[in-house]
Amino acid sequence: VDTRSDETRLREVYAASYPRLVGQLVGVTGDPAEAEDVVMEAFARAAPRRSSFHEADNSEAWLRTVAVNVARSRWRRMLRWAHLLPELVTQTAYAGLPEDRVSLLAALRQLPAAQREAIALHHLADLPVAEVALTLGVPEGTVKARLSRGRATLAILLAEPTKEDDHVRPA
Amino acid sequence: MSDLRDLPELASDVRERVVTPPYDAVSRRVRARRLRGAAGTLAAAVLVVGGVAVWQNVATTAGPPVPQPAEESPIPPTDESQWRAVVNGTDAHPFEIEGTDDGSIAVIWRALEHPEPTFALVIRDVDGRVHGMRLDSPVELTPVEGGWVGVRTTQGFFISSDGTWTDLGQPGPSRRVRPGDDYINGQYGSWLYSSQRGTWSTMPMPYGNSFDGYVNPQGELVTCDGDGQGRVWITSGRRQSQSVVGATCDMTGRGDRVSAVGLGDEPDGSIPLMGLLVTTEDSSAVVRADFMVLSGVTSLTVTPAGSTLVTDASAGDAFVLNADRTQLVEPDRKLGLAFVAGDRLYATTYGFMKGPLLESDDDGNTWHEGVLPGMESSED
Repeated sequence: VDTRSDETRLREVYAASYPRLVGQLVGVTGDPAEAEDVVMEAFARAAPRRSSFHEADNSEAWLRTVAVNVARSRWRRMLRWAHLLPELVTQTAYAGLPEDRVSLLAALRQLPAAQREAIALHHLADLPVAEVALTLGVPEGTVKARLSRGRATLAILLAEPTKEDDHVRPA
Repeated sequence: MSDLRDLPELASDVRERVVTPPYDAVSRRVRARRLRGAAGTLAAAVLVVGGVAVWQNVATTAGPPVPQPAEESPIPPTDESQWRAVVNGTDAHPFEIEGTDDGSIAVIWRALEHPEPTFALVIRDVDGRVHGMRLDSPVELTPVEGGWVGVRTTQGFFISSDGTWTDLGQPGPSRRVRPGDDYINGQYGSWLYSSQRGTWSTMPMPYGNSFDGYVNPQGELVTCDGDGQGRVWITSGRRQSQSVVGATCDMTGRGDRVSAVGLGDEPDGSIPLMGLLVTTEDSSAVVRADFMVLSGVTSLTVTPAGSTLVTDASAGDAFVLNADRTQLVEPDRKLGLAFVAGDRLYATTYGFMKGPLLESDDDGNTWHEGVLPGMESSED
């Protein structure tokens, strides 16, 4: 009975949280398809009965933390297999995203990974600084510094046309 | 034009476009993981009875599972037809390759079949014997004494050069590093492996400050660390090298010689070489990166002669920094992934193509062609 109720609960969380988590993780990965993949992986890790997910008070926070860690691991793995990754990741078209959102994603991708994580969790996931610190496993001061530097860099990037913008808007 | 206030709207715009896949997608991933776990458990059971499990004998029960068609195949994954089907498959290429101290070479072959790629591990031992096994997914190989540690997610196996797989089981608790340990860096964690004791122990996740590690002959953990602000360096005990530019770093070692590369984090997804660090027991040096432009780093190798070879397999670009750090040489041909087996230096063909295995007798300056494990002809 416990096993069935665990799975039922996970299914409910999946239905409710999957799109929201993808929306939040897109700021960490800089790519919607990659965000979907890391969120799916987080749910797969939540499923086993012995998973600590089933004891977590906040299911979505548990999933978000795991998804962020998966995204980090993938980035680390890219060190060796960067040239092969496009073949391994299923590309899902997010056609129809407004142009300014595409620009925002492009700017986010230009941030160092640590700043991108902080910006995504604070501004996209709307988490307070303390919870961002808990998710990332760093002191609150570090989160504030990363947010400050990330916002400053983003402001500059968004004020200037990016190279990608130059490509989509030929003179 | 967008600004910072649009960040929350970015999340909601993406959220609105998400088409949530059926829950079966989660179940499929879980099942795949259970299959891998079951393979590990069975291998452990064989160990209790027989000490070690030679893959030729136990493959039908203990080896990594083969993706099964609707009707299960009775053919074991070690059957030559199984791994040759991958080696001879669609656009097959060496996905990963590593040598080991006794001169054996292991290749993970990948074929780009539909709907998903297929994999096989092929080992050629120092006497030229070739073993093979079809895999359901690749393992990350790290050379250790007498073979390799293969990691799949968080499951570790010792794979000896004669084709024996030993499940390393659940890792023990974190412990102090000892002489003879190997630092195993996997996708989901890092571990310490001791060939002498056969122990498999947890290491703290090297995220944040440490990106990679190496255990030197004195049993000291050497790490490649970063400040998160674009500088990376090598730490050995209380000694810290100079730093180079890098969002992250990758490192390798042979004996007392350790080399690390600082790697960038470009918005186009590329991870270019930003700087090179080389340390020995009593000195460290930073090598300027502005004259060694590589758009990515595929392999970083300390050669048997103590030189450092860095390759970018996508473009075939490479350079060798000699042991005295006085000369930077560009090899006489394009290279893929470089590695050492025994006391010989090898590299795959660049572009991860199915080509000859390149060998060098002069510390990476010139190369001649050999044969990749799995591609031997009957005359070889």
